[in-house]
Amino acid sequence: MPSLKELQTAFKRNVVKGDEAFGEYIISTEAVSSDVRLDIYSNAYFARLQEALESDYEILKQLLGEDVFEEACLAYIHKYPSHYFSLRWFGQDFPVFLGYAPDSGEHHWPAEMAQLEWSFVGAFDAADAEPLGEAHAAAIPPEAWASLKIAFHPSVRTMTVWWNTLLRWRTAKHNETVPKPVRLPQATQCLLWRNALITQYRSLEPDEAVALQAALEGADFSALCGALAEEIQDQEQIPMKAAGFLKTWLAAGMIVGFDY
Amino acid sequence: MDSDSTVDHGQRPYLGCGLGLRPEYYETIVETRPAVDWFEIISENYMVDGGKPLYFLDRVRADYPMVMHGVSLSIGGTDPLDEDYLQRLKQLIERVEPQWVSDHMCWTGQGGHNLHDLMPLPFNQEAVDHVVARVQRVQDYLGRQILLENASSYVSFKQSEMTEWEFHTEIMQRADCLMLFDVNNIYVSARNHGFDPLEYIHGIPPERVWQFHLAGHSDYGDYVIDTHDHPVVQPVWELYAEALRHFGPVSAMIERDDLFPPFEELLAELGQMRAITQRVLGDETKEAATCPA
Repeated sequence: MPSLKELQTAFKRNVVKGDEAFGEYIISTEAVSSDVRLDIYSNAYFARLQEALESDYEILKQLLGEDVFEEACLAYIHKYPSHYFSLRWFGQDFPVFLGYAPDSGEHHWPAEMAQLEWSFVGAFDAADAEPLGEAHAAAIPPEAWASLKIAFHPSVRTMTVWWNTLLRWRTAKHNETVPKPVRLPQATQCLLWRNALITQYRSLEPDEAVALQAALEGADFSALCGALAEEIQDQEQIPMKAAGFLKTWLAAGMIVGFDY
Repeated sequence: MDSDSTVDHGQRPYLGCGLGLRPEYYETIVETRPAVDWFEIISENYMVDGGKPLYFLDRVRADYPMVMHGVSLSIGGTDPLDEDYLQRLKQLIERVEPQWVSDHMCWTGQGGHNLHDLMPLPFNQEAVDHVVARVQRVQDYLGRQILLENASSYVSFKQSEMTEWEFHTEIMQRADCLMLFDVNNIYVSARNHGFDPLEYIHGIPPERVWQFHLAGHSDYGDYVIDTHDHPVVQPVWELYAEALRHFGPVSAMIERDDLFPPFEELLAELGQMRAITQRVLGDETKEAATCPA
């Protein structure tokens, strides 16, 4: 008689790979054969995982069409078995599986759309933290600004966008006419975060992207201004510009702490 | 895994008639504070860092008694118990302070590969011994008894040596754990395997049952699949009445996990549950121990 572990191993193989050897352990009845009974588990397995991907990648599914999306899901399910206790994380490798290559941009639009949707998932249930108000910036003593460091809300994240992915996501989400996928003249940064439980996103101009990246990496205000020097020609404008970004981030609920 | 030295044995509380807390109804519940006696949460849905799920969890918990129901314990699994999961479960218990905590009599994966399903166990002595040892470890770690739910099943193993109700009873008695008695699952499994659901009900010791589940299913004629996407059917209501007669005042709730109807429809179904409960138990529910929010 097989051990409990052997039974479970064989059952899993049947569910995932259709290994028929397991059928010998199952009681077949006149009304329902062991094959039909085992198919219930196998069908449920693939359906449940596909459903998880559909929930995380709603717009990608809409834009790819059901058949292509389903084919991609099946291939992913086979290649990336779930090692997570919750389906919440099952889809996390889907962008990479689809070829997402943020540094080179050598990916097609579905990979980038997947990365955008996965970033929304991450921002949706990232840790809570109380955003600071504008009064907190006003309270910073003038002499402390140079060494000011910014702590961002845990939901704040950025991604590099090489395609017109944001426009396509927004139009699809609002049931508007979705433009064809085209590559952008140059890669841009997209910011995502959660404010008052609502997930937000917007694209960043190059100067704000540089400033935010520096701040996210822990640069103080003076180093942040140094980073901006490569983007802004009029050096006298830099501190004002940087302070303007900081004010924008505060108003958006992105900042949860100042350290100076 | 740290172990608490004592396991808390409470008296069976009676919470009344409840519903599953699902994201589709968050706003309605918080805004209208409906006449639902208590809510059950799916534990894993709240094992996240923040955002909407935890916000609404805390809002609803402030107004209602709550119990926690998990799907990932894999108490019958042959992989080691997932310590990360157990730690998160304990943290969530500390946040929610639930009346009780439940999971399923099943395994959910093998070799580190999670199938995300409630896989059936053979009803034999090896499985009993295996589950008993794991329940004891979990209860020691959590410092409380757990409830295990009878899962619906579609296969019977040639390796089974006893009935499903004998299997549950032996585990409950040896591990000193409790049962979440899913009336719909009894109906589904009875149809799929050809046993008498009444025999199942009468085979379970009443004092071990702390909660009932009711739900709808999909009927394919020769077999039935537990889908939680339809209203409770009449034969399941009849089994519920029989379960109440046998087990006495046991907190009951309706699970709905797909094809979500307007919330009023669930409240109407809850009204049906209340009517049957009142008809069978009469004033017994008022005499049963109740718990404040």
